[in-house]
Amino acid sequence: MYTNPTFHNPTGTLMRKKRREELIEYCVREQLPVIEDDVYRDLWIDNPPPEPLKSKDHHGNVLYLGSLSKTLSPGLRIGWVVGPESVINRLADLKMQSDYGSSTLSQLVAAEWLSSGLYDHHLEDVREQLRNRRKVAIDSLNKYLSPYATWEIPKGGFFIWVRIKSTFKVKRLFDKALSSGILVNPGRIYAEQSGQYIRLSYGYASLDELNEGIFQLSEIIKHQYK
Amino acid sequence: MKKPKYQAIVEYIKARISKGEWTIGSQIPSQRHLAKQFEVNRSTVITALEELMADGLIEGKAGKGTVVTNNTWTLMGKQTSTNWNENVTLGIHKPSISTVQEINEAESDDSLIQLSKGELSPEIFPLEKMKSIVQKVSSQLTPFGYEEPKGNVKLRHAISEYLKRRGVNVSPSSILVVSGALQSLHLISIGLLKRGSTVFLEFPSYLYSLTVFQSAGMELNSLSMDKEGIMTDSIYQTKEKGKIFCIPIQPFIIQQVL
Repeated sequence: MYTNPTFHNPTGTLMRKKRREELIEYCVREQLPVIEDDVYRDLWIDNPPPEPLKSKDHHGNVLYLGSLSKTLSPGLRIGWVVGPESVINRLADLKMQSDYGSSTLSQLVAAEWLSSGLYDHHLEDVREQLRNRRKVAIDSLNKYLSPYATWEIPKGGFFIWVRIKSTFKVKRLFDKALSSGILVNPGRIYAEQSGQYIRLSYGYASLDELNEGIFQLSEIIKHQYK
Repeated sequence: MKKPKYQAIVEYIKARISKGEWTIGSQIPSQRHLAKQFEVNRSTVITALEELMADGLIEGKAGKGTVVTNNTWTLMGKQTSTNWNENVTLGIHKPSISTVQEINEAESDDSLIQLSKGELSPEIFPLEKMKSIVQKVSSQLTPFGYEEPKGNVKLRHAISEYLKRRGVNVSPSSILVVSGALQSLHLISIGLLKRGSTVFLEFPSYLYSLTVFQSAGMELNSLSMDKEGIMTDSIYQTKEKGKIFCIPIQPFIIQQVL
């Protein structure tokens, strides 16, 4: 089983403690190996998320994935996988066969970030900025898209999973948005075939662009129903 | 009966390939371009490209668009045999992949408002701190060559400490440094899972926009989510449904053999 329990991509869902316990208990009992993708964990905005599934794994049932790509820089190309030593040995052998290891320079830079405490300071800045960005995005959504769509406010990460109400079926919203100069991710790339979902990220665009982009999306929908 | 519009596109592309005008490795025109040329919707172009992909003639390549991957005559004439597993996978995934490629392409377009990127804004990038760390690292640099298979020891210690603060207690020897979560998934898919295994995952999921498990011969099987994530009950149900679903396949295979 592959799962992304903390600020799930694309829905932003956060799995609470009780569900985590239920899930890990089930997987251990059924001997179902778990891949826990936890790359958004450090991007919490309101409260620290519950501990990873991996923290309750005493049987080596969980392979745990983390990365600096979402929180610091994807350009470093540094992430990690944690698991039983025999499994890690096997994966390390395959990694050697594919690229002879990650760059020393990147690894030393990553080590310095983590061990100097600067990474934790940086995360505080990131959270502050994400909190502000999320506010701007949600305010714009309330202002422009509330007649046409619904969403949950994410507690962390940078995605808002927006459902366009079924009374406002928008054909090819992705293409129309792109022609208006706005890039969104259509739900269908995440296997959501209804065409009623888009994933908005408030992590990248400037605050003005966030507001403008969400306004333009509402215009596209409005236009279709004129 | 009139030929479907997408068929005209399929035939056009096949003709260009079989004449040797579009050789292996060459990029075919963009979806936008083809839609304009044939005066059809993008979705029609996508249907055509899917068919050509299923035939093994073209393939989406990251950063390169869609390229010609085959041109042998045998392949040109070959009727695709019915393999439900593969067809189902293709049905779900190929359209996504072309969209994903388009998104990847558009993400480097600065004139667009990027509400798609799963990346922190340059406004948040800690450039000054990064510069000072790089300088510090460079001043302490010693000659370096290949690293240990699991990655730099110093980094693995730092990760181990970092994880401890997040409730995960592991020693550096249980940590492998990779180039990102995607490499982890790739290594797991080629190193640990058997072909034909089923990977359960959330529905919807980011994993559907990649082909990492499908390329290694695995099937994806969706689990329902509520506001707290995967519904544990749905795993049991999905597993059972999977078993029932397999039964009708059996007589079909026998028939094929006969």
